[in-house]
Amino acid sequence: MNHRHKNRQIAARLGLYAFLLAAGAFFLMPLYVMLVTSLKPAEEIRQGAMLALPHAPTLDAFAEAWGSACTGLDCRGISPGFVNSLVILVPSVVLSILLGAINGYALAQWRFPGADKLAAAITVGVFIPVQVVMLPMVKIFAFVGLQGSLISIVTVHVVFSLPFMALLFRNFFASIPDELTRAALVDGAGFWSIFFWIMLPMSTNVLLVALVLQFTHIWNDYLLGLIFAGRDWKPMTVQLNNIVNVAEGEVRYNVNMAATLLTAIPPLIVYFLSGKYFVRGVTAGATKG
Amino acid sequence: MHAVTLRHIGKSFGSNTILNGLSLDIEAGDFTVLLGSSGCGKSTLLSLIAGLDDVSAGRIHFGDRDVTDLPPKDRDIAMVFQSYALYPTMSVRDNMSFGLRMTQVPKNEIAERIDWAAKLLRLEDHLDRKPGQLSGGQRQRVAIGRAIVRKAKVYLFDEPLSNLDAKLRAEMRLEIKRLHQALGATMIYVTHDQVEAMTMATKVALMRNGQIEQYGPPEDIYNHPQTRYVAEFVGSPAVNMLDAQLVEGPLGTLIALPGCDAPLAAPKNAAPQKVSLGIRPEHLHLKADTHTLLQRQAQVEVVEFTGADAVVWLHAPAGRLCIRVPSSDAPRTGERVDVFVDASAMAVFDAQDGQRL
Repeated sequence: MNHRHKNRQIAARLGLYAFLLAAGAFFLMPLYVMLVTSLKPAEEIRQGAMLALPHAPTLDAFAEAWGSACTGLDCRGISPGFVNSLVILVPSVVLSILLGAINGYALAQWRFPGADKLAAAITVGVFIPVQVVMLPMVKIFAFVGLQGSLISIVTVHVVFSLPFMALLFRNFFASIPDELTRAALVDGAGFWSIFFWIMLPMSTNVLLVALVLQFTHIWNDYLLGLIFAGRDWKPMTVQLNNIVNVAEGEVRYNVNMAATLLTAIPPLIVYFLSGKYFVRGVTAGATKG
Repeated sequence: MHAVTLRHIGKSFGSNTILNGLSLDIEAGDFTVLLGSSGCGKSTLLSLIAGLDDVSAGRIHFGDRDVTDLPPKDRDIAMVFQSYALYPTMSVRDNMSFGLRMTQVPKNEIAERIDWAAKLLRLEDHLDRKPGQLSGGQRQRVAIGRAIVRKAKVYLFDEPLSNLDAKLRAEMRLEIKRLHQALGATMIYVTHDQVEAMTMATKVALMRNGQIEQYGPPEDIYNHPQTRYVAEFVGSPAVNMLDAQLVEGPLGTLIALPGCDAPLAAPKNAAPQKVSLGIRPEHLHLKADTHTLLQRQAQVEVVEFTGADAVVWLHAPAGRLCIRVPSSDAPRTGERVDVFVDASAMAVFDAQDGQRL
């Protein structure tokens, strides 16, 4: 009886693992194809065995994708795009998180008249699709003479991220008892010193969540980069598209796959480094710990 | 010169009036306890004194300085909160020095004051720990330490002991009292616990419905309650409250009480009316001595042994009575006893408005 019970448990376990492995393989299949293709020389690809491992693995495709692939007349690969993406990313991430945190802190810990209504308005802001305000934004930037510049793309990223960042931080700061702020007020601290000395040091988890969200979101952005960054500040995603989508000539699958993998690596690194904190931070607000 | 002067303080939240024209003078060096049940406005009053909330009406003076419109940091106060409100990411040392750093106290003086407070509160070994690593009592001491290093004019305590267990609470009570005597500072302390109020205060302000019901030394509050509410709020076991009647007689106005045939003198100039008779358990006796007979043949219902004393609950003609007697004199359950009263210690209240006659 007991024995049979145990056997059934083991069978259930095996079934579960089989399913998980199958699901894992299913999701990883495209990545596998990309990886093996990017490592194959062009002749091997032409043979058509998509799933086969490379006979003579080579990193030539990566080197070409990085440094010498052509987009039109420009044959510098996607490396300039990598630099552009970094230059766009750093100020966009830092500013959106910092401003979001300050906003959320003001909304949650300083119960000024109308704070709740303002928070509601910001919530609405989260749900306004980017596409709706795109044309007005272009018009505004063109009017002030900044369309297609680093300033415009960073501004756009910060502005569009702000409602969600503000809400994320507001919900976190709302879970901090307001006696803490009151104690700090009695101790002689003001709005900014409470924020920087007491609130920010308590926010490491939510800061990491914001960092991961903003990093991936801004790095992976294509549309905003295409419209607002202009010719000089094309981010990596836009450059990747220009390499991959060639209208004529041979399609160089290995170079395309290598370029795509290179573009996808930075967010992956961020996920791997912060995965543990990310999960913890997402649930931190719920359990008040 | 009073350390703190409150004049006609009003506070409303929307249409909800918490305080309505409250006035209070607090002497320098006093340990004043704001005592009252929850919702009486005592914590609100403390927030107003701290400047954490704005008054709706009235003025607050510290000494001769009008602080009504000043923010907390300009009032020269320090405060201990109910939840301790320690800064969780800072060490004990940084918690205590935060206020000093914010007000640009020189570094060597900060170190000096932290050492002094740590020694006084026995926190020397914990200075580099985070609040999360401390026990409840230690956190409480850090919160107090954070307040006393400020060397403020007025120290405010908002129910600081309510999160501690009974034993620790008794210890901390003593500690705060000692601290008050050592510092000689003006302290204002909010609690709903009458034992805390009675043991710690030099003055008690008993609050009810946003008003001060009675203000005075704890002995006065206990022995000379000015209203029926005050008499019933303090004392454990609670005061005996008996319904009686004042009647005009040939010997002047007397108190008529069911089951009592001895003449009990009414307060002077009292008109015949319904009254409540307040008698503390320790002012009732089972032996005559010099006392007046109050009730004959009361039946002993329950005897509670509390150590040196026993609390005896009686069923008497005038109602249920509670007596505190030495344990050795305690009667048996079911026995019938005569009850005598120390007539000078009785308090007579108007049955209608509860004011003392």
